[in-house]
Amino acid sequence: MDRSQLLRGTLDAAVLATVAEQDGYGYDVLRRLRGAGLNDVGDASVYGTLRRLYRGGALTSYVMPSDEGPHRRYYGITDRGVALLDEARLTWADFSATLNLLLGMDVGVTA
Amino acid sequence: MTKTFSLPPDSAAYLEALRAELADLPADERDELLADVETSMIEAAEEGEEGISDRLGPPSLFAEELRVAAGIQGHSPTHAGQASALDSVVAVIRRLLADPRMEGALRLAGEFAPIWWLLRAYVAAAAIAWAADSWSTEHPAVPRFGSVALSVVVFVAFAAISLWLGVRGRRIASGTPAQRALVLLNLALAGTAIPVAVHALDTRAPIREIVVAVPAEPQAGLTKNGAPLRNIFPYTRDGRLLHDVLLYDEFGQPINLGGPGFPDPNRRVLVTAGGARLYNSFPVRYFEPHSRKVAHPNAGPSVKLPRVVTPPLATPLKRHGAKARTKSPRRAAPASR
Repeated sequence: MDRSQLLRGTLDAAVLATVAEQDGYGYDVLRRLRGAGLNDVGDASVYGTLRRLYRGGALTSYVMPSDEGPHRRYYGITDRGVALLDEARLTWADFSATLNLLLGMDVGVTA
Repeated sequence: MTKTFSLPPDSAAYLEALRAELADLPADERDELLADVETSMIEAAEEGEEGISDRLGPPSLFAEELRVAAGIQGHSPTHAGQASALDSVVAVIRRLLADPRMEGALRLAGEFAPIWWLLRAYVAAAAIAWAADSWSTEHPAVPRFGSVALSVVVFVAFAAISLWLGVRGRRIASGTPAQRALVLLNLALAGTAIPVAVHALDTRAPIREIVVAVPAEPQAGLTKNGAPLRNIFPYTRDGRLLHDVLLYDEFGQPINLGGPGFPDPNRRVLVTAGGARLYNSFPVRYFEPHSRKVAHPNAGPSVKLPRVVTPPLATPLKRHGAKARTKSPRRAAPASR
């Protein structure tokens, strides 16, 4: 099973979920994703995804001026983003359940 | 006044490389994309992260991933001829080098890099010598620039530059224009090494000037030991100088002294009944100027004639002043019967 392919398919949902939990800037989102266990997620993938979701209207963006560090561009989730996230949850629940059965896994999935 | 936070040099270079890779994008889109990257770079630097390009991979791949994730059209070589042939070559090489299996080989190559640095200094010097065809005469593989001293200075300078580039090159971020230039330089020198090597192998023997004594062309005319003869004086064994002796070689060819091409109005030339002039009669005699008279017909060089004791051959020669005694019977006087 190709992790990178799986990641590519689910990164949108992962990013949406992360931002939905708390607004974040690019590097912060990346850190949180890695901290959650997605160690192999690429920087470019996250930044690119954030931009795309923003352009698609799933995220808002604002700049937070800072004196301690550089100005950070924060992303927050929009209603559309929330809707996409809910959709993704359903898709994942269905897909993973099917695959669990197929692969003969005993793990149950909590939606 | 807000503080400006500067990037470490290799991060800045990396960012510039990214900017170049995304040059085809509208400025604001590109800036937005790179702003996140820049921020994260600054934070990473503050956290003490080093080796940004090692962590992020080659800028071209990073930029590609950015595009794909951001849903922007990929940077394909067919796009308005953006990527040059060099870019394709560099991309192929980079992909090759990025392969994890190459790690061991690359590390080994890194160890031997200084040897290549010295070698390329020689190749650079040799390339110039090859173009100008100025090699040392003692050692044809060694380039020569004017004097020995100057050649040494040039080579030391090249070596120094090469070593400096090598050490400096280790700290250049991959994918940047500087690194691309260095790769190009290495490729060019590696390519030049081929004709240089061919030359070095070709001219193994040093060039020496060999003086070959070419024998002089045989002189036309009558010569003795390469020197022209002016006359021949035939004497009998009894010491009598002969006159008008005709000489022929073993092929029956007349041994001529002079000829029609060397007309001498004062020379006494024998003439045949048919009007042919003979140039093989000796001794050659000359008329007194403006006359037809040979002043001294018996003149000759002072010769100390030897006393020959060998018995004469069958046909005795005419003796000076004596009547000939021939073996052939004299014709008997007609006798009345």
